[in-house]
Amino acid sequence: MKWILIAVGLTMACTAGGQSYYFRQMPLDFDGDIQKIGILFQGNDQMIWLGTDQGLYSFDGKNYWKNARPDGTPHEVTAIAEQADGEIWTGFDDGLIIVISVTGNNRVITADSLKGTSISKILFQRDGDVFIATYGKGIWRISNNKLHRLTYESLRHTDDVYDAMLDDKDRIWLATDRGIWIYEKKPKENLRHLGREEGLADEIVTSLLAEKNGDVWIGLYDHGTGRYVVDKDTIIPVMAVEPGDERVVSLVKGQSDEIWIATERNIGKYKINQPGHGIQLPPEMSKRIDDLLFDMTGNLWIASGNKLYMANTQLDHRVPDVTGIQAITALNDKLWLGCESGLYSMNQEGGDLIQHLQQEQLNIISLYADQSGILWIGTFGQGLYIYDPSKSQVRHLTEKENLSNNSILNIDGKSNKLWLATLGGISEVNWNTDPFKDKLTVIDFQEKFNFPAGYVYDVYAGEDDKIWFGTDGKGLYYLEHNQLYSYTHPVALAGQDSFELKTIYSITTDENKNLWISSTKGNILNLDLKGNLLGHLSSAHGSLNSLVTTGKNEIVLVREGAIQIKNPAYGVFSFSSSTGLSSFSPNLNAVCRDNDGSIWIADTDNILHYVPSQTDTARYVHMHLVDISPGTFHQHRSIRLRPDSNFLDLRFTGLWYPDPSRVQYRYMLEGHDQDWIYTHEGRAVYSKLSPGTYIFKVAGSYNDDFSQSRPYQREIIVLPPFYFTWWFILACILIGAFLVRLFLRSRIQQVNKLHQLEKEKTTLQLHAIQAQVNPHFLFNSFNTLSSIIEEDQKSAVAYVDQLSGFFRGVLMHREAELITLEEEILIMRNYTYILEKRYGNNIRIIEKISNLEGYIAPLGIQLLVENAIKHNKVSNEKPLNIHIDIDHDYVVVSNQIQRKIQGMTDSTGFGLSSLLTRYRYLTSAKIEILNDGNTFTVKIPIIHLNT
Amino acid sequence: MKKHFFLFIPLLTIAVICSAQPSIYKTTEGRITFKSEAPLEVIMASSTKLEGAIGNEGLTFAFIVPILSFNGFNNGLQRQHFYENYLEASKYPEASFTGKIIEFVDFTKPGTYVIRAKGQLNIHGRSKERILKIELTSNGTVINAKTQFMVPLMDHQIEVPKIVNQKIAQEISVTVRATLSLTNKS
Repeated sequence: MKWILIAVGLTMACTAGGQSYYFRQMPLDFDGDIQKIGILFQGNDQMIWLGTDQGLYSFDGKNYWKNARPDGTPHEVTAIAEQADGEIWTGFDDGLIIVISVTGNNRVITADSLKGTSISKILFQRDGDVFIATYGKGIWRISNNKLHRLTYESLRHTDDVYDAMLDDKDRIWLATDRGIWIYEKKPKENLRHLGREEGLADEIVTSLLAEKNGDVWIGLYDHGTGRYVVDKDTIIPVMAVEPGDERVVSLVKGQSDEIWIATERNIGKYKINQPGHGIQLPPEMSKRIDDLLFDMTGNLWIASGNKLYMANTQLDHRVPDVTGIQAITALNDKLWLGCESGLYSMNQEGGDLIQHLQQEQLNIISLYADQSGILWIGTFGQGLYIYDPSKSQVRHLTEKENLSNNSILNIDGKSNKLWLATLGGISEVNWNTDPFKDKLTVIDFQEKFNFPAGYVYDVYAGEDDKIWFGTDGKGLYYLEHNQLYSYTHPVALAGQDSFELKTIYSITTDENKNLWISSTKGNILNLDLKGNLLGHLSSAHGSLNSLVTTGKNEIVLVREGAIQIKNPAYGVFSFSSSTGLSSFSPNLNAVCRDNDGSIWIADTDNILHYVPSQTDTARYVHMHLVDISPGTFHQHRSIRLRPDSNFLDLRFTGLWYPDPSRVQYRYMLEGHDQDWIYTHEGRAVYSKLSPGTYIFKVAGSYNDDFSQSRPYQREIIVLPPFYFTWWFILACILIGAFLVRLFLRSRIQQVNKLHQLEKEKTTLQLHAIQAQVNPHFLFNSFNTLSSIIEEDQKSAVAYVDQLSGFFRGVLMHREAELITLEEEILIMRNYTYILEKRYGNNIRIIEKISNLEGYIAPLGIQLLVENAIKHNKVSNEKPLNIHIDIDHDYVVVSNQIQRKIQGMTDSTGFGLSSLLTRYRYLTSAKIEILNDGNTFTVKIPIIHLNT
Repeated sequence: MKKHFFLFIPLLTIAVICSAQPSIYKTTEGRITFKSEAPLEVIMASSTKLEGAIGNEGLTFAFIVPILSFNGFNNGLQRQHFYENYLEASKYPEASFTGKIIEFVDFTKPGTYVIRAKGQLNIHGRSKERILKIELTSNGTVINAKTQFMVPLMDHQIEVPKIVNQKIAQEISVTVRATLSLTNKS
């Protein structure tokens, strides 16, 4: 039971004046079905994921989107995890796991062996293995796409895994009903148990959280929290709750190494080696806490039933049991409050107030704690009190001791000197070593420097040797090397031509020793010592700004209704009514800085505490593209639009959870827009974009300053219509070229053909002439003629007439393509006459042409007859009969075959083939050649031109 | 009524067979009482028909009570409503609690133990996982068990008309006292 002694009860959360945050309920108008948000998760892209009893939702602070399961059924989300590549794995109470991928290729992991079991945790080991912890069926591993259960005899009774985690050595820790099991795969498979023997206060472990140094925070069912200390290999209790139904539901890590512990009804905060303390929760939240999340911007999220709450943990507050607080200072880890009713002290975390110097009945308006732990108390009309709380010593100074005025608005000091800003000028107090024993020297600046008497609002002892004084209407002064100077540099403000540095309410300096002063009309000026204006802020609402520096690069501005932080890296961000800061009405300069650099601000009945920003805080608006219409939603690829879709609707959102309503956007479609377009609506619409490549850029800001924003950009390609696409043009060129080629080829062929025809014709003509002027023919003809002349002169004359008629026919028609059948027969008859005269009865040409209609190739029949004589024996014994008939549309020339002895012919083999060629060009009808062994027949088609 | 009971007896037997020293504690006496404390009316009823068993080695347990065995109530009509409208005893004739014991306790050693029993509490046909604290006093062979817990009607989808909210509490307090004796089975 040793642990009880060092445990700090979470019941402290109920103490009056405890630490609280400005929780806001997030706008989730879930329909009635959702009763519980069980899991809160933030992805690396800063999006918040909500695991509800009806499914998975993502949330940007303003809107939420449902991520429906493929089967469409509502199921409770029991685990959410993110893999290194941004995939979101979601486990459900029925054993299903869906993986939401940034590429849009979502998938489902389902196994019969997991069906019906609730998935309690999904873990990704460095080597790629996935561990799936279930509530009901133990722990499973996906390795090489195979799912199998870790079966160990000792794990037999640990079917219910409440939580699981991976440590820095890639070991799996399991929180079960039987303590903690640690599974190690490498170097050697090993299973280890942590239980009562190791100091675990409870067998039922509900949550685990790894610490940087290897320690592990352990949330228990009945006994609060423990910590496994790796160096001692034991578990020590850290924060215990009253045993009861108050199990730890969540352990999360805060921004500055603190641990947040959520039980079913309370939230506590614990920093190592410091006592933990509870957080005061608004009553609507304290009935039930389902999960906690600490996001990357430093906001604490609380899921309670179907409600979601959020608070920026940089600003907390506590309500002490006193009102009329007018001054504050921090000393010895305690807060000192100067009130209308006197001096009070309290612990920083809250708790009971202790009143001091009660008998003096002080109305305190300023407080200052010096380095030796002495409080300097400025009152309204009662002069200055010096108070040492450790020794309960008091000393009192008034106008009698030469104070400029008994009403002291502000005090600041340095070593053994102190300056007072009063309603009647400035006083300096000097002492030697002990302000209670030594003589106190009080110098009135009116006496010493002829400083004009009047209201002095602020005194500020800067880091260098200058002491600054801000007066009402008389400007800014500084004391350096015991000399008082007036800061008389003129300041020119843009848009305010008549601005003069007359009234100064508050003064501070930054790290670069540059001045920050608050003046009238809400002007905050950043000036260097030479009077150059470095920066200017203007607060439209309220002019009485108190300024204080955190000493960590931030200037804090406090005024009615708002606290603004000027950070050199992020710009200005604000706490105001939209972040839950309502009815905030602080006194001027009722601010102080403690040793940690955090700022304490006194409101009339409320103490606010600002913790400076951590340097690694993601303090910018993280842009997300939510939807594109038309087009498919793909996180990484460029958007491609068809040319006929002349409408582009882009929805985007900027994640800035501290104050979502303040987010402003600017966007630009490079290649279309000339300049940024500013909007509060997360939407850009374009119509009728001409084909081309554009870049859509969008940035968000929470303070109108886009210089620190990180724009999101995405390429948008509007595809050209098909008749402008390179492939279409190329295809056209190719087809065109092909057609031209085809045309040329056919033309060439045609020309070649004509040429060929011409050649054939010429050859035939030549041949015909050759044939006819064949010396053999002439010789025979003249021989015949000479024999006739002697016998019969009359027939000799007729023979010569026939011979010349034949030659005339040949000469006349040799160049014609066609001649009439009649003309051909005429030539043929001449020829027949000549042949009959020569061969006598040895040759018989039987011509039976009745119908002379139609055309024929010139000298065709003559050629066939000539051929017949050429190839066959013509003798007395065997006269050669040549028949010339008409058969339908053919001229038929036939003869019986009586072959000459081989070698006797002088055939060139030319005649018939040239006729065949010629006919090919003349008509589609073919010359038919028939040879049955006895008779040789050639059929020449008659050509009818009119048909 | 015996149907469920027979289901878990083999279950226990298996657990018992697996262990070296088979020991089962079975109820010899069991009393379960519920109390509804509403602003306008307090209703109490109890049953002595609670039956159950605890296996020492596997640290498993099972308890069952027939709904119709409850007696008490302020009047007969109330009793009838309880059976017919709220718990639908004809459809769901018994209530049960089965599961395992978290703490490793050897009941054969005399002593008083506060243990947590984790299991499925089945009322009105709807199961709800509960972890209940039970105080056990054992003399080695006889265990006296007592516990008290709350049953929210919502957990078991027992619908009570809003009009009688003033007469029936939304959370019912249940008290159990049972005596279990060691029966060595082989």
